[in-house]
Amino acid sequence: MAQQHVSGIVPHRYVEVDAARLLLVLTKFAHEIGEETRSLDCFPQRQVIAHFSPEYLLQKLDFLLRYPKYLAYELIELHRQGIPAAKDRNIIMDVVTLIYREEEKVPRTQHFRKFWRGAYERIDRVEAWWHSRELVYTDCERRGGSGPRKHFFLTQKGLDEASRLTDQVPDARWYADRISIIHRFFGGLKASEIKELQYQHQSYRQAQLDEMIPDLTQEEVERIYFQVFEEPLEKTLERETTFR
Amino acid sequence: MSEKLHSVKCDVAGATSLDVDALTEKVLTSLSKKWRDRISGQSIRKVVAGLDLADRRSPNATPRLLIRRLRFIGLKHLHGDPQPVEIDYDQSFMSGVNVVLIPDNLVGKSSIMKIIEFALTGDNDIDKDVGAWISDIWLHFSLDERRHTVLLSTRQNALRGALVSGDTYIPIEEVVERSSYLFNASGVEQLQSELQHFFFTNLGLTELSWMQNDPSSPSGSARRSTSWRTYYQALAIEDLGDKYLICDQEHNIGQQEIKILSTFLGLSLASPLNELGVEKSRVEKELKAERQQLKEETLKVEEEKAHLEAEREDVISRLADLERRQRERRRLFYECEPTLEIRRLQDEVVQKTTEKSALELDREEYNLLIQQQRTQARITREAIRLRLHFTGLDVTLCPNCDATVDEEAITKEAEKHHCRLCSKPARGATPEQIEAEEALAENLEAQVERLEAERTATTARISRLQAEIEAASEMIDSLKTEIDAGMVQAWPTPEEEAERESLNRQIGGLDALIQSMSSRTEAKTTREDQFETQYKIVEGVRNALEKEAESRNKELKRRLADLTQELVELTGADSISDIEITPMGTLKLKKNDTPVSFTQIMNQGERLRLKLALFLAMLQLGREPGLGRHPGLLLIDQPGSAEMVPEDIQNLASIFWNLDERFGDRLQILCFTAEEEFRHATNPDKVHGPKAGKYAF
Repeated sequence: MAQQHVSGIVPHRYVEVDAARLLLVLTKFAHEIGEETRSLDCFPQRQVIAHFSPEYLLQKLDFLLRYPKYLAYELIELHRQGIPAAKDRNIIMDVVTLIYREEEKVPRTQHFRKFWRGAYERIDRVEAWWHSRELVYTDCERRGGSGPRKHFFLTQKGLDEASRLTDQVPDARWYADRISIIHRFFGGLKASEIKELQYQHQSYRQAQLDEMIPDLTQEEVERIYFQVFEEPLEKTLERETTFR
Repeated sequence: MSEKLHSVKCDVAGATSLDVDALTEKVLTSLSKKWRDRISGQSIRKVVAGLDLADRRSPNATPRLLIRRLRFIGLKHLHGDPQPVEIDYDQSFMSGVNVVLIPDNLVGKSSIMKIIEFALTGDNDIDKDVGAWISDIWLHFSLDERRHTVLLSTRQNALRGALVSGDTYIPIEEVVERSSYLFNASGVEQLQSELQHFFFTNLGLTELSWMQNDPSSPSGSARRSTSWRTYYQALAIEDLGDKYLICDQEHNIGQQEIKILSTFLGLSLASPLNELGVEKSRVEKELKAERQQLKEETLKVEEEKAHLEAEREDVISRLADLERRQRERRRLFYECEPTLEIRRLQDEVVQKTTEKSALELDREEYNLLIQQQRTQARITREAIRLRLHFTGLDVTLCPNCDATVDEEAITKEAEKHHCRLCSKPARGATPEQIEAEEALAENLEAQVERLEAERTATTARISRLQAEIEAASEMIDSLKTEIDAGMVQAWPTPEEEAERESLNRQIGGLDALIQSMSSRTEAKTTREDQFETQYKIVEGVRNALEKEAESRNKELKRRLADLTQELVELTGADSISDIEITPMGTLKLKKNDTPVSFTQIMNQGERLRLKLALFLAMLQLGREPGLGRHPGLLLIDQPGSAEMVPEDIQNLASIFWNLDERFGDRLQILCFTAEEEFRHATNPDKVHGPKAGKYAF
């Protein structure tokens, strides 16, 4: 059972929280609607302004948002792999330090359940909540032999609401900031690449079905940090860092 | 020495030699068991076999020595006369008592006697003023029928002597030229040696020895033997010679008197007894020296040993003192405050470290709880905020059918809290729920605060404990430093260890030295044992021989006793009731049946008469075959003395007369006297007066 659950009890998940968080992810990662998207059977009848797909990418992005240590680890890994977006050593060190420090202050890890091979949680309620408030419309594309593919269509109202959230709710602002970090460094990766990054962790792989995926330990993050940057992580905590 | 033309020996006919083995056995059985266990027969036999046990006795009487004529010449410077006067003294003597009667003293009487002595022995005791002018001496003497002449010459300050057969007055140079001599000697030593050899051989005399102190000898003593000069003392009674029997104190070294008596009385086994006496004396000396040396060395060793033992005790004492000091320091170290304090502090450190570890665990627990609670509070607040935020965001579509929510459903929801979509009671965030969640959040936050406060207190407590632990550790270090200094003092210092090692080495060395000293003493004891054993053997053999000699001397002793008694009566020394001679030659006298020594006889006349009687006895014995060896010559200078009253002198003269009457044919006595009474001591033709006025010559 994840450490941060008080008395080992998983806290109640509020649909508003998930809806707000995922709305911010969608808002950041959705693309403009192109003709190909418009030609989809599941394209909604109502006015939409952006499109996001597939669902498992949303889940992976949400995973990074909900597991800051994984985010820090993956950032270091991107730098080690030489991914262009993560090429700058100092920036990566600063970002990782920021994440590490904030995590020390207030742990933000929100555990994910594992479904088959990866982190996955049903978001039906979120989708219904969005739909009922005309923020995001979701529908599935039938693809014959392949499984259906879910599409998310963002409305202007959803975009506005996302903006209002970040303006008015500090928690939402935090999410938006973190989503920006994720977008900056992982936005250029494919969904499968992001999935693979997560899958390389043994604890992630070995988590049982429907079990909460355990978080990385501080030592794991500190170890890779030292391996890549040849500096102990605590030293860099002395530096004042802010990152937006 | 010249080739001998003629010599006479007393030979072995009639000797009864002792059996070596029989004597050895006799000695062995005479020993006590203790000594028989220590002494082997072999060692006794070795001593016995080394002796001359032949006990030679001549079947004939010892040759009689008769002085027939004395002549000496020289140029004498008389007082006040620048011209030297030629002196030619020529005096014949006869058998029996001869008296050279010259009334005054210092007129040469003694000189004549000394010249005779010089010619017979080579010993020049002539007064210097007389000897200085005498150039040649001739002494005619005979041994039984064999006539001899001793020639002496002192011309050109060189002493020369020669012995020829027959009577002669030719110069010695001529004798030498003719080579008709029995010996020809140059110098005193050679002369004495030749004369000794001649008389020893012809009279059958043997050397008897004794050990005499001699600082120049490595052993401190040297062997001396009787010489012809020694024996000559039994042929002469010098002036004042009544004070001793044969030898004066000066010449009685080595008990020469006894040896003279042994020889001239012809005591049996005198030679081996003498040898044993010498050997006994030597061994005794050696044993005494050994014992003295052993005593001194033992004393020295004991002193050294005592000194070493004292030194050892001192070293042991110093070692004990060292150990005592170290023990005391250790005791203080273990009982002192710093040690106890360190123990207390160490216990305190352990206790506080344990407490600190527990608090750290608590703090970790707090951290976790705070994290969890804070997370939970954050999640709750986040939910509250977001839910509150979204309360203004109305539901406008049905997510199921995508239908727009009508106004009536919205009103119904506002009035009755029924869901505008499904008309069931709405489950939205009611103010009460929000309030409850806020309360929960606050509660969580309050818990976080409380936990943080407790964590802070714990951290403070940890810090305080840490500080206390560090303080205690510092104190421990400080005390340890103090104790280290004390420990250094408590434990043996390198110097002390070095000193201990040195002391132990000293003790070991001293033990070895003490042990070696004991060994030295034991080794010395062995040598003492050897000397003791040798002494015992010699003494045993000597005792056995003495007994044998006693047995063999019975006849002699009886004859001596008879003769002496007769002569004692003759000489008037009749208070002497018994004269006995031991096998060793010791004379035992009894006066009125009371043992007495010669010198204990107080009366001078009595002593002289006794001496005379003894000498005459020796002379007599010598005339008897197989008994004594005295050659029958006696020279007496000044018989009697100024202390004798005229009556005594007359008596003495009468004695001489009787002697001449009875023994005149077998012995010769030459008296040199100034006493007129001695004119009647012999026949008038044997009274010889001065040759030059009142002077003898």
